[in-house]
Amino acid sequence: MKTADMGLWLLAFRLPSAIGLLLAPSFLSLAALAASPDTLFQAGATAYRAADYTQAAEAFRQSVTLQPASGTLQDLGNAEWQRHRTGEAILAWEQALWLDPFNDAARQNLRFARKTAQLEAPELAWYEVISTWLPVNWWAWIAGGSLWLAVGMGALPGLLRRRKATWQQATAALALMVFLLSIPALFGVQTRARIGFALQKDTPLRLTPTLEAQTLTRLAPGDPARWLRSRGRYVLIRTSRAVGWVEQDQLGLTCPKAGKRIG
Amino acid sequence: MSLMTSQPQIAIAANPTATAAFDPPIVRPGEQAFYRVVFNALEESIEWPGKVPAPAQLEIRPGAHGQILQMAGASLEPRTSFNHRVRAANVGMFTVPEYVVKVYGKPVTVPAALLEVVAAPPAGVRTTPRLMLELPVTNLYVGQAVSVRLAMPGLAGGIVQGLGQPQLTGQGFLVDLGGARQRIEMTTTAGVSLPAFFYETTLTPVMTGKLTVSAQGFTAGNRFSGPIVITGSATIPGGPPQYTLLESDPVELHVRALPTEGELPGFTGGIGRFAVGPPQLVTNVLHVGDPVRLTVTITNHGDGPLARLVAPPPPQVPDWQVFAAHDFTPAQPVLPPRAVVQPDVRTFIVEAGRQPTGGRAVPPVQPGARTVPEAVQGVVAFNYTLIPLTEAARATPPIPFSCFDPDTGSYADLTIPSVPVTVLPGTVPADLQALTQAASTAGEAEKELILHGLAASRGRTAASLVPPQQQAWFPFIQLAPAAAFFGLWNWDRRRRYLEQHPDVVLRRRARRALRRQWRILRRAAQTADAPRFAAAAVSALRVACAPHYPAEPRALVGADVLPLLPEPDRTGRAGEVVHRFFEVTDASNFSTASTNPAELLPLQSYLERVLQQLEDRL
Amino acid sequence: MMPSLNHLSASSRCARSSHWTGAFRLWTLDFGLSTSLLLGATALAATPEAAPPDTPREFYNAGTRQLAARKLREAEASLESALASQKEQLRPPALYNLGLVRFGQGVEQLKKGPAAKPTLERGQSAAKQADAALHQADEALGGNDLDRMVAAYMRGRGARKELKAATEAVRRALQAHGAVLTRWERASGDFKSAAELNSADSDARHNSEVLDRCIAKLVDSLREMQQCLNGMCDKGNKLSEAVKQLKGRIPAPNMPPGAAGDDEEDEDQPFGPQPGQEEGPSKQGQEMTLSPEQAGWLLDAYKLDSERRLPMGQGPAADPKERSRPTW
Repeated sequence: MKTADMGLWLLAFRLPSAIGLLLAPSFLSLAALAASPDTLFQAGATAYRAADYTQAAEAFRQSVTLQPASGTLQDLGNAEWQRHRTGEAILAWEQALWLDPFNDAARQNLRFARKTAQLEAPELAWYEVISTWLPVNWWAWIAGGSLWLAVGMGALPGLLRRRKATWQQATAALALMVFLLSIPALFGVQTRARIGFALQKDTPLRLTPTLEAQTLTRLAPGDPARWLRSRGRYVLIRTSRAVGWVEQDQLGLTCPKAGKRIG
Repeated sequence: MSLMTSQPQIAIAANPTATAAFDPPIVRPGEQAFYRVVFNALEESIEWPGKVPAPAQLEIRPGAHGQILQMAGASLEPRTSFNHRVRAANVGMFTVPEYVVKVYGKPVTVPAALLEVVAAPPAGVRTTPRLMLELPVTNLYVGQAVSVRLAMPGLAGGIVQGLGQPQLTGQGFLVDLGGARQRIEMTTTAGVSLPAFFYETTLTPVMTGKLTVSAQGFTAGNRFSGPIVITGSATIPGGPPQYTLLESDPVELHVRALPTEGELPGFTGGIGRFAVGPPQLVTNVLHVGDPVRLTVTITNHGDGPLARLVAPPPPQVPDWQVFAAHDFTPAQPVLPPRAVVQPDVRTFIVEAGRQPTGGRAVPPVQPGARTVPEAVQGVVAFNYTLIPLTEAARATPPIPFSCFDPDTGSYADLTIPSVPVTVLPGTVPADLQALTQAASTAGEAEKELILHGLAASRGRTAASLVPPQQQAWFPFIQLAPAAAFFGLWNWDRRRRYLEQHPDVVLRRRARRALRRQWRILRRAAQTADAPRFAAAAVSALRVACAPHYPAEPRALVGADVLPLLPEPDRTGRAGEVVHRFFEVTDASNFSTASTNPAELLPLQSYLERVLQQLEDRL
Repeated sequence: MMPSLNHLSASSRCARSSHWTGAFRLWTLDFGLSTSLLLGATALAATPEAAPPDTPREFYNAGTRQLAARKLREAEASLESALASQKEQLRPPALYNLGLVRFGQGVEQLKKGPAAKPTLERGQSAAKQADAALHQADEALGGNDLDRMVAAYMRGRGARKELKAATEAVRRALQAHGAVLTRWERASGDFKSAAELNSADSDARHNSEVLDRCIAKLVDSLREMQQCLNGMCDKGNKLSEAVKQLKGRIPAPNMPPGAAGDDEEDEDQPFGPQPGQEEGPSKQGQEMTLSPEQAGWLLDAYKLDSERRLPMGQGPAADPKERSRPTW
């Protein structure tokens, strides 16, 4: 009796779980189809060709939010450019190059936009220039991989009581060299992540992080700036002209902070 | 000075007057009429009110206004007209009462005007012609020139007038006044053939969105501004003209911006359908440094006017010096593509108010009837001057050129192709050498920047824009190999230590073996398996003592165990137990006499005490 | 230095004096506060006054010293330098002192500029004279009495001159008060910013409230002056027109002396553009910025060449201006 009750109770508990487990994959697949990055990318392209740039930009942005991609960001920039939102366009193209420096179309678009809108490009230090040679995601893995390869090639033969071969020493040296060369690039990625662009027209650059602050100058959409620190809803930035405060929503960072909308 | 003194004086009336009238004075309900007020004063001096006091049932909207100078005796008198569009929904008599307008600061009374709205107005009420604005297309692109035609049909009896000061009003477009043409020709309206005055020009929108264009002008009798072509039977009134301000209905244009995507190199603003003819060189055999002229013909096959096509800029190439086409053969406009019948013509000039009596006849312009062929809307030729700089040049450089086709909405490539040439040795002039050297050292010419199209695919993806080194999990990923190496190093260190201290290994092994034997003897004791119990006990004692010598455990005897016990236990109960166990096992192994291992079972507790002491020494 | 009471209109003098006095109290309180800050700063680092400031703290101290010495322009520059260093600790007191500096600058500008009340009175008086002159001119133009026309002409000329001078004075007063308004609005912003950064700073909040009230009064005064200016400009145009007509009616031998040099009638707008005069309503359609390239193509397409004919109109190409004098 006791065993039968137990069995019935278990069945009552497990049956809904079983049904849920059976149906879950189909629900997940439906949701995935409805909002997959590829679907949104295609929808955005269709809307762009139909000259519905607002819809296109929204679709591209949702695709990027689900999974950032260089091509999607490039198209997002195009759509924002057609909507005459220079700041958002330049930010999107910069993010496309952030992910994929080999995206020549995004690079040309940036040059075109900066020439058309008479904007300057952000000035990069030498280590930041190095960091632009490869996608930003690569440098951390290159540095970590080369470091541990060098450590492994140097230490493992001794630990395993094997004789150190020449090729192991050479590999260790090469890996160490790669690691040392990647350190500036890593640093460059860190500093380049703080680069942002003014999003709106005539963004006031304030002397103090207050509502009634004195305006030092006004930034054009697409003007580059470097994030220094935050205070409340204001961020301190350095531009080519001055150092001042802007509201957080008025500055788009190439590498957004966690939880912030991309683009 | 004499020219200035010969100009007629402009007479400013001391007491300006105004006239007001509806045109036509009798209309149907819903039909549009014009309320026209005319002053003999300068337009700037008239303080025209914002609203005319019209009856409420009359829908009245401001229309065109303008000023013209009319000969009055020996002087010129200004005449300013203000038009309003009126419409009445119902039948009745509507009067705009008199009101006062300030002219030169003085009050001037505008007399009352009467409009009669009847269901069936009598024929021939209209005395002034209508002005119509015609455009072939209204959906345009910025920069796309379109022909605009003002048409003013004549009145009954073949009477047609000229149009003075024709203008297009509105914002957001350019009008080519210099290229305007006017003519009088026969046209058919409602089955009736009447002469009409046409004024044609070109309009180019420069703004996007909806633009409103309307036309206005003054009826000018036999006064024409510029040359005019008259074909057909036309009666032009003589005498001083009656200047009446006419205006057309507005036309709405929808103007779009040219797409930036897909723009081809060499685009200079040309919009339409064009064809590039084969380029022609004066000669194909050249010498280095000698200039040669390249002529290329562009033919307009589109519906729009040729307007002013701008030549593409010369390309920068290392082997050639190309000079821009500063002089070019102007467009040869051809009449719009429709069949025009031109019979024998006679033109009569009529005195005002008199019927034509076959006065002075003008010789016929075109005998017989013929049609004007369609297809070509004008031709323009670009001339470039090219100088070969090296003998290596085998052909002239292609000159990038493109236009935008509004019908397809895309850019068309009209690049002027290369022409094969033979270049013989010669010398480049020194000034040209300096120019080319400066151009070459300036670096590669900057490519024209355009906005690229959409990406074909999503391209390189990432989980996040945040680089891995800023992610929370990255340090842990990097700690994993560190932990692995650390573990490996610790293992190697331990191994080396054990190699240097073998007694540690021996003692460890002895402890393991002792525990093993201990388990066996306990199990044997539980099952009362006395022989096994005894054997396990002796093995345990041997194993526990072996590392101290060191020796193989099987080689040890009871006398070897006793020294390892504490002094009192050697001769005490523990010693006895050890003796007993060895005695029994040795007897069972080597003696023929029978033994009883069972008697050892009760000694388990003593044995375990001994074993514990030995284990503690390990 | 106390803000002068003379600038205010008599009707609300009593009400405003308390505000001005309150402002003065505020001024002295703040002067004391800034002095205490100054003392606090100098107690920490006794540096000689002549050494130019190098660090943000030194800029702040220098600015406070200059504020106390009434060198407001230098104080503003020093305090702005201190703020530009973006030091958190210095920001609230620097903003506070900057607000005091700008308030003081406004007070000085008020004192230097023309007083509002007498300027307004002058303008109103000139407008009344112009009205009377206009009335006389209208009456004279309505008849044919030459003597009346000459008298009206003379009176009109005189009234016009006085009106012009009064208009200029009102315009100067408007400019000066406008500059004061700009300074005080900036000062109010500084106080509000200081209060926003330090919510416990009741002084900054109080100052901003007082300053807002002062600004409101100043705006009222500016509005009055603007209305007066509009009215005077309107009357000036009418008077000019009337004088022109009178001059046209009076024969040359009867002209009073000095009329020959009076060529103001040739000016289209002798009183300058009408206040509030703007361009016409914006065009239909959506503006699209033409790139220099596109504009160049369009202009190239319309350039003259040997085949182009100049447009031949019905009458003369340009309409001559109206002239009362005979033509050539």
